[in-house]
Amino acid sequence: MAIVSIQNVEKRYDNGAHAVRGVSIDIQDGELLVLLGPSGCGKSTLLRMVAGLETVTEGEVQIDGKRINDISPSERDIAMVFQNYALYPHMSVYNNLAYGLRNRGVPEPDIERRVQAAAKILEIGDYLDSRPNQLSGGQRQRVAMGRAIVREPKAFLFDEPLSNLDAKLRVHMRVEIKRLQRRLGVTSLYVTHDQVEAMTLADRLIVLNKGQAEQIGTPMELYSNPASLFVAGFVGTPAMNLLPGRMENNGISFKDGGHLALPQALVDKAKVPEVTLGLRPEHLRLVQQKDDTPNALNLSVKVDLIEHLGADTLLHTRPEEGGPTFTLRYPGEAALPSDDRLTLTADADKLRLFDTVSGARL
Amino acid sequence: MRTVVNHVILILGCLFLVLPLWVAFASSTHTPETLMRHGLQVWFGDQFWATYKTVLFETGGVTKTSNAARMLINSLVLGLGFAVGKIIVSMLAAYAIVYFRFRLAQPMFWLIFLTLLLPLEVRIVPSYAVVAHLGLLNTYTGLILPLIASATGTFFFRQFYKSVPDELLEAARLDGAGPIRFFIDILLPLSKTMIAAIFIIMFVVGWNQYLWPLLMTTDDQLYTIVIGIKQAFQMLYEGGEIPQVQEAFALAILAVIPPVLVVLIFQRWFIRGLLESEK
Repeated sequence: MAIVSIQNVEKRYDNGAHAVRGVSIDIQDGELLVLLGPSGCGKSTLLRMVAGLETVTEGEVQIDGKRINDISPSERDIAMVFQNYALYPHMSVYNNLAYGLRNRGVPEPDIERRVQAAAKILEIGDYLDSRPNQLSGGQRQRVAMGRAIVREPKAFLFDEPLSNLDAKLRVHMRVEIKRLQRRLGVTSLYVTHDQVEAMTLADRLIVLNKGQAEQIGTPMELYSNPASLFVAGFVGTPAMNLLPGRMENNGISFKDGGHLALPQALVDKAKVPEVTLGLRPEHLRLVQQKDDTPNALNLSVKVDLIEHLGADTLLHTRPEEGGPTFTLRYPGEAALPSDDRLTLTADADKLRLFDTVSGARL
Repeated sequence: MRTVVNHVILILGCLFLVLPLWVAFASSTHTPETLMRHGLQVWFGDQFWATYKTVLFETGGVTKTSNAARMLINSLVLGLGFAVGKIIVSMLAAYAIVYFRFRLAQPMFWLIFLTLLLPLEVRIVPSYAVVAHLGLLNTYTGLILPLIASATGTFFFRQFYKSVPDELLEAARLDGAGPIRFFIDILLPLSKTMIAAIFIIMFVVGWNQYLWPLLMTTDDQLYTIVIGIKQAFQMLYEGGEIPQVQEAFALAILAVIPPVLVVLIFQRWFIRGLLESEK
């Protein structure tokens, strides 16, 4: 078990591409840290630098305080699970697991014991003599994880390990990975572009955008208090309602028309003219009549579109006086008034304001 | 109707290819007198054992101072050395080009590729001079070594290695496999079908080498069977006796058998390699 420390790491490729720009984070002992971001944000590059598959242009990667920038991948004592599993196609499952140990000169009885132990944890004992191409996607995934486990490494690195699985299996394996990581207590770095995966797996998340860390925190911190427009838009499904406008008359005038009065506390914070209002769909409530408490925000809207998700209903609405569309998450089946005119209300403390130009939270 | 036409074409094609071989084989089992008097034969005679025993094991006749068994061994050495040598050299060359970053790797590859424009016939004089100066005339080494660099093989292996996912290399690196381990443990087993395919092609090409062995070997003991056929052809029209046509036919048939066997044995691998891509 170990602390993996990434300090001001930069990556510049020979062709001038600047993939990672000064990221710093300490992954605590036994912690599962998720690197989240859209494709091309540098998250895989960062992971590969920790693995030793890419050189570090600047900064330092440390394991337990020891600089590992120039140490070869096999000597870093880390194991990696690849997106396409990268199992050796010509070897049996047993040999796939044993290969790394043999190269390290582990005695054969120890190999046998460790492979059997890993196979038991992952329930792949029945396939040890099979070839990878005889296995299903989920089984291959397990073998790939088995290959990481038998090494008993200081850290696990996961590079989008679930993205080649179908949706149902992905959810299942997600839970298994989490359980396994808890059980083994191994420090882990997990790369994904799927924010649901990130939210459910992570002890802490780091959101990368264009090679920079936008925000680091627990899933709920990121969800409730996104530090920037980028994080607000990226984390959460359905996405946060993000409504650009201008500050006017103690409220916000939306680009698409309409004006919404804002509580004084928020108005005071908004020191820039161009702002974006952020509001999670589940924080909007459907009410019979306007909420007159001072902290409430009222909207009169028309229903645009209804999406039934089963457990929830998503209402896409448009304010009556014109203006941007809101998405509202309604728990259960929505019994809609016949005229389709609704009153929505939200607590003002759930509102988030962002500087439209810089993207920063206000 | 269409299948009938297809089959007729197919059968005609087969006959066209097989008939000469068949006539040669059938004629080789007759006495030279029969062949002189009645021309080529399409059915067996009674001289099968006699002819083939003479050709294989006795010096003289069409094989002059050597015999076909000796020639077959020489050809086998040349064919195997040629194919195996080419496979080893081109695998290693392609491995270097694909997996190692060194200066001028790309120009080097194109340089290798350009040698396709310079077949043996073009560079035969300098090649001969080099081998002669090294004192390698009339040796197996001289026969095989100058031929084993292969642009075609290098190109095929390069394309194959490029299709191997990078993650396999990365996984192997994390598993502590160095360049040599990776080559032996991962790349070599994955290349099996590719090796089989190139082996078939190269063995047949090696077996059929004519010009190079003709120049390289003046010692009868090193004659390959292809050279032997050429010798036999000369013999038929030199002596005053009845030409031993049946022996020449037998020699030709013997020359054909090993390449056919190689193709038959390895083609299963070859086809399986084309069908299944386990990567």
